[in-house]
Amino acid sequence: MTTELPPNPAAPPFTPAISVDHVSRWYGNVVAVNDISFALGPGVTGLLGPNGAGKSTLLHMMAGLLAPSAGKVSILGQSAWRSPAIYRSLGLVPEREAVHPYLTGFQFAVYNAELQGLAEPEAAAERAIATVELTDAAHRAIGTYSKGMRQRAKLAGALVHDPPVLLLDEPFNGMDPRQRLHMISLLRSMAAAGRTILFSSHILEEVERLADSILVVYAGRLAASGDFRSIRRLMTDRPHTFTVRSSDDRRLAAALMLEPAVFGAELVDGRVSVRTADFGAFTRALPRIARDSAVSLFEVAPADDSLESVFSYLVRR
Amino acid sequence: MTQTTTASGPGGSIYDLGYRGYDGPRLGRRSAVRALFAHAIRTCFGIGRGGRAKIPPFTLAGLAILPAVIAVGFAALASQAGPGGEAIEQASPIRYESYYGLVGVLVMLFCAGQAPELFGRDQRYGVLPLYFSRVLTRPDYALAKVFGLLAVVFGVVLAPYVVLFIGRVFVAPDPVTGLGDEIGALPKFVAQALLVAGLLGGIASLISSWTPRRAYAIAAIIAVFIIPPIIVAILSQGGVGNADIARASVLLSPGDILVGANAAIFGSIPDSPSVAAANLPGWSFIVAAIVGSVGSIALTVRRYQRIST
Repeated sequence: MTTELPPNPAAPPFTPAISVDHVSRWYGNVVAVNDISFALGPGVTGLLGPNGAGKSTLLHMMAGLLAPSAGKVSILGQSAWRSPAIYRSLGLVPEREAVHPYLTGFQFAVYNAELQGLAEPEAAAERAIATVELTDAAHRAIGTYSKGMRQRAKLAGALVHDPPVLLLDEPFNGMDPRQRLHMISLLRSMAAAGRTILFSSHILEEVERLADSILVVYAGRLAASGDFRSIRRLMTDRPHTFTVRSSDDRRLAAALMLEPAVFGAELVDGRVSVRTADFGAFTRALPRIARDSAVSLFEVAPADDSLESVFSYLVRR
Repeated sequence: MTQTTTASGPGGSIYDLGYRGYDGPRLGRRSAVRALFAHAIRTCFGIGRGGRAKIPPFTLAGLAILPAVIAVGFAALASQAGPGGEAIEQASPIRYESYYGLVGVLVMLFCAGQAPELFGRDQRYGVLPLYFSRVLTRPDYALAKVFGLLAVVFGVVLAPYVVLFIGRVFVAPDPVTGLGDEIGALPKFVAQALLVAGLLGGIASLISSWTPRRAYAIAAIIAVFIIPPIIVAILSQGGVGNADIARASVLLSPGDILVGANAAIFGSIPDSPSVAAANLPGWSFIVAAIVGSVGSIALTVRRYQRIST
């Protein structure tokens, strides 16, 4: 995720891997995407939103499958719409099944490599199949695959030309927990290698584990962007809850109640549950209060600093 | 980032979704009724619905206007035929007084097809509370819908007469003389169109307001338009029961009422043998049509005053 920075004349101009500039898309009277702008660099970004929020429309525009009604979508500086050249730099894993069931996983990867015009399609396919750990089943027809294996076969097809930008629409759909873990580690390693990965998902747990930053789309608008913990801290109209374990919870709770930033403290299951409206003020005051009260702190943890709480806040505003 | 940022930190931003309360002028009840009336007119022609919804209304309206176009063409040919042309023109079966008999069934089918769409959909999808929880009253809702349908039916009935009227004026050797000859028919066909729209539209509205099921409403409307003339024919011509009751029963048949009203307005012989056999004064058909129109509209309003939402 990039943020606006003052221009540095010495630095080379930054070209985001994915740039969405004032993009809208409407179908008749229905506005699916409404004036969205963002820019993404290397890393994993999760695209979140309730059903019908415009996630798939946005992904289709980024993949060059759909023209924006207004605005511009660029991949590595090139317009995504009507630029076949971008597919050399772009891998797409669509949500819907788009794999011939009679092909084997390997054949599917080879065909993708051939369509990309690679010099050694079979070697590239082997590499891609190995990357998604599908080697054992590579020569079985895709029709016999589980849903998770099909997803990995599609990912192999998208990775075969080693694209720097990867778009994945609901990649975790139908995967069992082990396959999800594998997919998460695979995408993480690809992001660590400098790829820009954008994936849509409604499984918040996976997004929380995988994404460096998130884009929250709601009713066709961009509701928030960035690291979800930072977004949580910006939600100042919603109190933060911390659980604190200490050597004397009762004394600590009494002392905390004197702090203006704290407006609630409760003893729950051998811990103090503290509610504060000011994240920064509380985290600065807590060590001082503990020291002044001669209480040792053993554990301080945010209780509602989850992506789920951030997401539910953003879509219910 | 170019979105309006409401909160922004080093690692994230929350954007303004742009939701705003409406603080502009409120147009009020009259505007709401007008909007619903306009919506009813659009619905009758399938505007705002899919392509297939437009086919029946436009086809029926087109078929209703077709004889008028043919008659104008016929009159144009007759006017070029010299002295014999007038005789040819007089022989044309498509005239003001015979027009209702030609297109009456089409108008009935139009009402049967469109009224259930107009009245049934809101009940079917359970959206009446959305209307009634606003400035609009229940009678406002019912009247806007009824008059929407009536306006459309009036237009469908009137359009062929207007085509016939304009055509006859312009195919006359001198349009000014032609206008003088034809102007007398203008109030007559406007009156007939008003009675047709009021009675057929009113009855179709009343029946449609009673069921959210489109098929039931269509079947009931067609039955009410088709079955009474058959019963009247049996009563009047079969000599069944009291002769006076048989004669008066013609005033319970919407189709026959309009045939009788048409004959009374244009001073012609009724198309229907039952109406001719009844031998009732012409004004009785006109009064029956007005009573039927006003009664069915009033009952439709009453239905909406009591309908459970």
